[in-house]
Amino acid sequence: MKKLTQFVLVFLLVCGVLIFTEISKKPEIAGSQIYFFDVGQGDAALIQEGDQQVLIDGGPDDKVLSELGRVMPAGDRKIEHMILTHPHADHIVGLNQVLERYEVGEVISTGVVSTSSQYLEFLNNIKTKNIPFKVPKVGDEIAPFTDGKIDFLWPGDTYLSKEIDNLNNSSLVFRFCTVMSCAIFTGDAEQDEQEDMVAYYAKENMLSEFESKIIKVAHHGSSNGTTDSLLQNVKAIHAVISVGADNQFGHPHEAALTLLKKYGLIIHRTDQNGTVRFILNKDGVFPE
Amino acid sequence: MFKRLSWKNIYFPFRIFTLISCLFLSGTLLASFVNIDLVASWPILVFGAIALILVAFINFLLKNKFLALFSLGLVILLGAMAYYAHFDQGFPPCTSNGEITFAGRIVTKPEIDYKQQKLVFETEIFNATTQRNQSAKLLVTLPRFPQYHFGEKLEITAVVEQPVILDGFDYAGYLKGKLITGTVRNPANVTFVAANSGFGWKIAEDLYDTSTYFEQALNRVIPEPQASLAAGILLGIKRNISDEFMSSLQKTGLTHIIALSGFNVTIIIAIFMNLVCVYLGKKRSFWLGLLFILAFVVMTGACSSVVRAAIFSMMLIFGKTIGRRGDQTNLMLVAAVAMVLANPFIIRSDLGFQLSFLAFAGLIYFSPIFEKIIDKFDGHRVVSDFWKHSLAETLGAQLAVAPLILLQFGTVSFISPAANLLVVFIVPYAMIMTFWVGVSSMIYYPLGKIAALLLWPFLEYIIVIVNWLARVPMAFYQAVK
Repeated sequence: MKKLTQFVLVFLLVCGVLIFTEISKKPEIAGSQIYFFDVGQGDAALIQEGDQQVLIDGGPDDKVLSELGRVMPAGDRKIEHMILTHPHADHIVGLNQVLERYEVGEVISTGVVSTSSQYLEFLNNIKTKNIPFKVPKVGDEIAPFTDGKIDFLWPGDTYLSKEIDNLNNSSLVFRFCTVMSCAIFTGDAEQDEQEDMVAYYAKENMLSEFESKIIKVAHHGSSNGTTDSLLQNVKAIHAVISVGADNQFGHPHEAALTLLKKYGLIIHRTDQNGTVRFILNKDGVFPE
Repeated sequence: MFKRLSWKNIYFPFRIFTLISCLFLSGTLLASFVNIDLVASWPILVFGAIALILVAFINFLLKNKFLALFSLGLVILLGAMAYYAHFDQGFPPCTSNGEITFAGRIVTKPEIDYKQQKLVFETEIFNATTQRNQSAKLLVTLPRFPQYHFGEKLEITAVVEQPVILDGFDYAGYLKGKLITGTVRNPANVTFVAANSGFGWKIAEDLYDTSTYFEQALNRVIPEPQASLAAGILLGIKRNISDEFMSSLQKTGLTHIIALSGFNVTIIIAIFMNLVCVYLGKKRSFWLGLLFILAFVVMTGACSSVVRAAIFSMMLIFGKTIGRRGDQTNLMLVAAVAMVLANPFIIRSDLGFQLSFLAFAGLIYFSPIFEKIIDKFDGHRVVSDFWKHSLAETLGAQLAVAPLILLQFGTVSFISPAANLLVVFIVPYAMIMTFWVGVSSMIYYPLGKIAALLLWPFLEYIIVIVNWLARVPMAFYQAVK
């Protein structure tokens, strides 16, 4: 009995300390949050509203796990939607770690063919856990939150079960929108693929589909990841570069940075700012 | 009184043991600084030993006081011989000229992280340095897939390299402490030969699998970084802990809580004994306790601190069974001698071994002194006994390990006593809770999720305190490299 009392006392003490630290934090603003995680040289982003999540890529290692642990509500072990833009190691390795530890509602990707061990592990994980695998067509949309939706802009199911020389160009491009503001995710799509995409939307007269307040700069700010035509149509305010400090590729490239500055974008870099968070609500976009 | 201080009076049987053990260990330690090839030095040692035995015997017959002196010399020599008997396995390092093919078996649980798996491979190969065949343990690094398992037999074609010194860290010495003498990276070919077989091997594999399932069960219900902390404090699994948190732990002198220190192991054993053995008689408790301790040692990969604590606990339990209390110094030395006999390289190369024994020595010898000092300052007994003991134990253990840590890492943590006071008392609770979370998550996932919510505050408390204290200015001192 004495032990039990002791245990309860310790528990209460611990809870007290934690409640104190929780209170001393800033109050949460209502709305959706977009996190661009600092996972080193790679991409990992999370869109979250309440206990609903969309995870976009997982970075090159298991850092994404601590990032998720930090931002997801305690006790939430389910990620409702997981998007793999393309199966390169710096986007997929973390997702494999997530698949091992979290319940995942569905996986969305392009279905492009790749035989890298990481991708085979990814497919195997999905299969053994019976997770639905979706390949969206151009213009498909999902609604992860009541007032938030994701439009899949490119490349549709073009690469389903097909091989491609440059996997970067198979990247899923999509736009997340809440009531007032949008964010566009471009994966690692390179210039030629972006030009094709913009040309297609120009022909269909749907260039407004690109308009977003936030753009995730393609291919970690490499010189081949940023185009005039896309930036012109996105009309963004914030540009996010998901990149590792002192990476061996020299990302982000000077040319890309110059171009972003030309459009007057506010640049957020995960290597300098750490994890970048945006809050999207009815009043607009708020970076931190 | 001093008149009576002679060799005769020191010869209390249990102090003789203390003396002999100390001399034996110093013999091994001395030998580790003199690397002579066994083939050359063996006759010298044998002749030396025989000569000393003869001298000792003659002196015994003559009732000469030099008897003791020579006997002591003999013990030192025995210690050195224990070292050289393992010479083949530890020195010189194993290398190959170019690619060679060798067959062998995986003898530890492969350590798998997000990009690779590391396994210890035992094989018989031709050593290019010594020009003869020798059995060797190699550290093999392979890609994450295909995954290999404990006990499997493989055939590997690769270049065997000598471990290198990295950033001033003596990697070769570190591996030698684990009897590993060569490394293999990116082998040209790995062929699967046979699955695990053999009774003992199967049991060990089952134990490893249990710990893996347990870890996976924890990971499914606890988020990071709490999950890796939980796995660290209960099973000593460190590979998932982030570099930042690791450095915070170092700065606050709390690495021991995730390293399965003797403290953790003693708690685990105590929990088990309280849980299971209250319903059984003394004798049955003893055997069951013994079995549990052995299983736990195997399950956690038999690292030095666990083995030390296990030997110690086993002897304590044994003492309880036969109704006797052992001398703590001797119990500690029994553990040390047994471990050094099994692998003499640890005395010089295994930091875990050194820290574990130093900390324990600190608890035995320094803590009582600190307790007296606290009593002196606290004349009115304001401080409760619990906090007095905690503070004295922390100070004793930390003081004992501080010189070694300064030598190895070039750091001294000034905040360590405060950090230990704030964190260590909660570790046992976190361990019990972690155990229940793992078990309930293995049985029924939603139950594990609820249990995890109760565990979360404990782990988060440790993380918050550690990160907070690591940021305090002047918390620790880093010597310039």
